[in-house]
Amino acid sequence: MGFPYSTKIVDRKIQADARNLKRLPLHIGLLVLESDFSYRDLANIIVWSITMGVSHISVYDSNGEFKRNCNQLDEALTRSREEIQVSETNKYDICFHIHCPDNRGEENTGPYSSNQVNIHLLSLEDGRQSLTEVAKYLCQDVQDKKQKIEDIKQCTVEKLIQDIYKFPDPDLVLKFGHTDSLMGFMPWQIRLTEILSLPSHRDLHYKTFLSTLFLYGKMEQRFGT
Amino acid sequence: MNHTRPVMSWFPETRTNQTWAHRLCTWILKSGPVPKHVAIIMDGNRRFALKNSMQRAEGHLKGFDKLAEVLDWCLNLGITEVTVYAFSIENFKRSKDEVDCLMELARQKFARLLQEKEQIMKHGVCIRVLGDLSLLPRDILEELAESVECSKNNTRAVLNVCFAYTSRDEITTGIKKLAEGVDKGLIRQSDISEELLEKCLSTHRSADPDLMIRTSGEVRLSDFLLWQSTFTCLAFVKVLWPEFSLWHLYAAILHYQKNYDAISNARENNRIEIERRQRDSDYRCVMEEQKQKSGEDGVNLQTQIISYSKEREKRIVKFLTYLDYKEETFFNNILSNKPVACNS
Repeated sequence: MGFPYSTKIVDRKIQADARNLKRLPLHIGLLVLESDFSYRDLANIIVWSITMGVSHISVYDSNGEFKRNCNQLDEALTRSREEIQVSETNKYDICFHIHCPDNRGEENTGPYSSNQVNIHLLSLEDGRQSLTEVAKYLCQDVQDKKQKIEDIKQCTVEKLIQDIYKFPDPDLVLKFGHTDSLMGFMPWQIRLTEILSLPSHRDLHYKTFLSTLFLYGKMEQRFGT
Repeated sequence: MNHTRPVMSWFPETRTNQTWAHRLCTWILKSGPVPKHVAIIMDGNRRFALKNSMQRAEGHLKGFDKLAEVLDWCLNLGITEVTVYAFSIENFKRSKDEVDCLMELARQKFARLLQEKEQIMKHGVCIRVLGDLSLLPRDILEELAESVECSKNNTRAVLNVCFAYTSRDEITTGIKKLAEGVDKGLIRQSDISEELLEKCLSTHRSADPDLMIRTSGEVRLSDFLLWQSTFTCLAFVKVLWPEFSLWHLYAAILHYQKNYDAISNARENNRIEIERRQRDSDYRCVMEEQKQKSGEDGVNLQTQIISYSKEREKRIVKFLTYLDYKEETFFNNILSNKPVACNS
């Protein structure tokens, strides 16, 4: 590609780049629809995002491999943070959330702290199946006379989803791989999500990542009105 | 709104002559898998109007004409079901003028549709309207109900018009239907599955879309068929809807063919997973029942599970029949206030 690699990517540069973006997503979803995972490259993408100021990052693969290999990702993240020389003033806690659709009383309860970055590991079961679990839960409440059917509104469903997932809807999804489908990723939450595709997460250059975020920043949202 | 030209037909008889290039492309595409069900977000009417210094109303009119044309192309290619996002619940938040204009357009189009009953029956198109119909003005509701009633037994092609629709509203309504089923004792809470929730959505008569096309370059789903499109091939096309051409459609189909294997595998895996979960659930329910009966070991476990499963399926059929009946009653109530114009 020929662009100079002489400037090492460091966190100060990333933060400066972030200030030039028109808007920054609150929550980025990384859909890894490839069969070979590179934890190192994924960790880089995550660390770049966090350094820019993104506080929620979802990592999705259909089969739940990321959920099972959380430690590998954690190690890769540590290495990536060292590489970009995270400064003392930019310290943050990384908190992994391995979600499960019928787990209502997850270990970390309570509001997230402001210095905390949340990495959500998701898989196919967090899609349609989690909506089904919400349906079952609500129906049980109706049966137990704790909930009236006529009082069930969109926000009722939304609240139950939030009880499990505790994150804002992703503003942006980066889809890696050559499949042009969301492959089961959280149907409810992607209502207004911008979907940008990249051929691969492997060897993704920072410049490509930055220009994708730049593209996102330029998008106009009209919300049907 | 004044019309200085005749209202454009839903079934344009004067088709653009298919050039040899078009016919060649159709032949090539048909040698591979062709999507049976295509969903379309027809975005860009307003921007088209702006670009061509027209009123917005004119842009929407052009958009409608384009829809009629595209339906024709789809039928020629063997695409037998099309679902379009005509009006979102969010659109009601637009200016009163624009909403009135869109309602007026809907009025005229559906009225025209009824006049073309012969064409509908000739082309064998079944028209369905999906959405929160209670939000619509009464007269439009009546036109819609008539279109739906007239065409309901047609089998050659299906056109689903999402009107006053959002996906989250649809899913919430589906969950409420399940709650009603449980409340009325038609189904048990343990009968609820991904499959059953799907059957409570307004698209329950259709298979999931194979291909979703969104024009104007936007790359989001905007609350359209979120559940149904989770394994759908997405084609985001950078052209304004009124400028969508047959070549764009060909390209979208090629795109679908490229993704066919990956998506088919994903769908198959999901289906297998659903079956596995159902088997597990049936097993757990039988074990639960066993515990309460305090072990009547006479009948073998496998037989019990099979018999439980059959009972569950019977409950579900009864429940779904009840839902169908409610839906029919809804339309009949609308129609009974007006003499039914068509003779089916």
